[in-house]
Amino acid sequence: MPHSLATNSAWFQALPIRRKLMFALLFTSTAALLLAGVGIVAVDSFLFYSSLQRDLQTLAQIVADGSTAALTFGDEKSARERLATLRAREHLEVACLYLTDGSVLASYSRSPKSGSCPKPQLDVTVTSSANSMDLSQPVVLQNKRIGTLVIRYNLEELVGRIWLYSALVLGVLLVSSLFAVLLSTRLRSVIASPILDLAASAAFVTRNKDYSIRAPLQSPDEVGELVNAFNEMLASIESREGDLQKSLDAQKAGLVQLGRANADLQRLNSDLERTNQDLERFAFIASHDLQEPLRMITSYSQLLVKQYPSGGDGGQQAIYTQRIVDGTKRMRKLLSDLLAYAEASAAPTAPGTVDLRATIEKVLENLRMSIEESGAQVVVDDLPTLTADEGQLNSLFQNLIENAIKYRSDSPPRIHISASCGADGPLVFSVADNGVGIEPQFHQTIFTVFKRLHGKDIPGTGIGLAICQRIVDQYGGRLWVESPPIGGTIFCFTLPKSNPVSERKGTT
Amino acid sequence: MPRIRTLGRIGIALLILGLFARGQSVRSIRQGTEAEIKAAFLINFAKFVEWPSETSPGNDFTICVAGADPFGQALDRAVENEAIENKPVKVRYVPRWQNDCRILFVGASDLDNSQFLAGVPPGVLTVGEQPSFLLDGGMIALVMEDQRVRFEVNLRAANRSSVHISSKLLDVARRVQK
Repeated sequence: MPHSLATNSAWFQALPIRRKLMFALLFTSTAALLLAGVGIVAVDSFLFYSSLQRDLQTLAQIVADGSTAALTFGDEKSARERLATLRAREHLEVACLYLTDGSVLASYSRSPKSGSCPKPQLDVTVTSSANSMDLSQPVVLQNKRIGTLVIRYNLEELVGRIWLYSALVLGVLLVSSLFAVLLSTRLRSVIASPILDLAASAAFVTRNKDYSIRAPLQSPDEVGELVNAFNEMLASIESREGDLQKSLDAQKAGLVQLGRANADLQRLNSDLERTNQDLERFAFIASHDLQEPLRMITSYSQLLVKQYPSGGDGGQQAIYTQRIVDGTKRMRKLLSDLLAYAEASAAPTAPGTVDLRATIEKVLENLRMSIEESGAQVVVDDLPTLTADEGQLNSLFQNLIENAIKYRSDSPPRIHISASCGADGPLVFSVADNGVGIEPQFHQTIFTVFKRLHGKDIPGTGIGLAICQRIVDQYGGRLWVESPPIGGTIFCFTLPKSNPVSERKGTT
Repeated sequence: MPRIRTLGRIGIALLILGLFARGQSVRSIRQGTEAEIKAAFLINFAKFVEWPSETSPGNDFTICVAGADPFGQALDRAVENEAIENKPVKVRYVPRWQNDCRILFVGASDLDNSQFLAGVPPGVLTVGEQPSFLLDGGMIALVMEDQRVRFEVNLRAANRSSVHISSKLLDVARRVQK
């Protein structure tokens, strides 16, 4: 064998299946034939040798038996004739008849180069050398040894036989190798082709990403099962691919729809903004332009009250006139609030550095009358300086403080204004009071314009908190209300931290 | 192999020594005096001859020598320790036919051999050494040829006397009359 499997397994592994098949067949047939050949030669040689030995012993016995008289009477001629009968055995080289005194009575040689007589032995003895077998046979007459027959047999016959067998095995080996090679080409189409086809299909799928092809099924064996499994795998991949494609398409369609909806929304939004702007402009114009006729009504009503303090109807006229004046006052307040609300939605008009403490002092000054009247106590913590429109912040704080005084409980109001300044994030301001409080279900709705929780007993337009909401919105902050368990209300709002310049100590 | 050969040589030497020690009968076939060889022949004939089974009288196998005795002491020495048909061999020198003879050797004499042999009953092997012995009805005649002792056989006489002579003996005989 040119290569053994164990030492060259890597080499063998790398071979194509076709070659592997051929080598497997070759190795198997060669090994089987060699074993069989060696076995046959060995067994045949052994059988041949033992049968030859038996043959020669029988022959020697016959010749020895026939030579008794010749030995007894020392008849050399007769002895020679006896030995000459051995000529029939082609490979018998030498035969000798010894007398009991060790002298040779007669001998036979096949050819001059056959050599001399082997030594006689005491008993029946077979001595084998590489190419000859010596046999010593006692000649016995009536239980008395009268001589010895010695035969030398040439074993070249056996050697020749072994050579012949070896040549035969070699020949069969060559023929079977040739047959194995031929058979392997046939087996290739039976065993290797389905595998090669499968490999080709797999390569095609890998190269083209086409999962629709199928490997051909040729045999229902393991390879067939493999082909089936491969095809099933392809089908599974194909269907999954389809599903994936479908879901991708659906996603695309969804995106398109989303885009369309988004566009719609944007259009609606801009529409809404336009409408809003129109409305605000209308509100501004209306409230501004309405003030002029309202002022006239007020002026003339007051004039009427002054010049005609008591009418003929016993003071009824004065009362009505006073009601007109009150109504117009309320309407003026409403209009000015509306104007403020409309103005609040405009962009910050004059952003500048605002010292909040100063702003609060101004607000408190504005509200001095109602503070003194209600006996309110206002505590102001440290407040930062920030960049904003001072008027808007003024309006924001005034509305909140005004509310705190307006919606007070029976005890005098206590108002606490504070600002917390986190490390980052917006500033959080709070205006806390000990007033009547707001029930949680109204926490969201109170910031709506014209929304009021109280009747006419507490005057108000319902616009203040809406204005606050709009101002905080302007700065991108958040406004909300909290109801602490001890009662009262806390209004909180955030404003962006805009480089506070300094902080000052708060005062009462 | 050398060891086996050495053993073989020792074996042969012992064998040869043993055979020498056993007696002169073997040696006398090719060496020895004419009388010794003739005596050995006479005994050896018995090994190739079968007598009719009914003629087995006596406890001894008796060889009778009639007429001139050519053996001297040789025959007496030769039969020592010899046994034929499991019986010790005895030699008797007789003037004429005796009843218990199995082999009758007829030496040279003035007697008419044919007459003498006619008186011998069947079942007796007759051996002689005169040239006319076979013609006179004898079975085996010892003859000299090239200084060697040989013998001739009259097979008809033997058959007539129910003495069966082995074909092996006939092979060795110089001449066989049928």
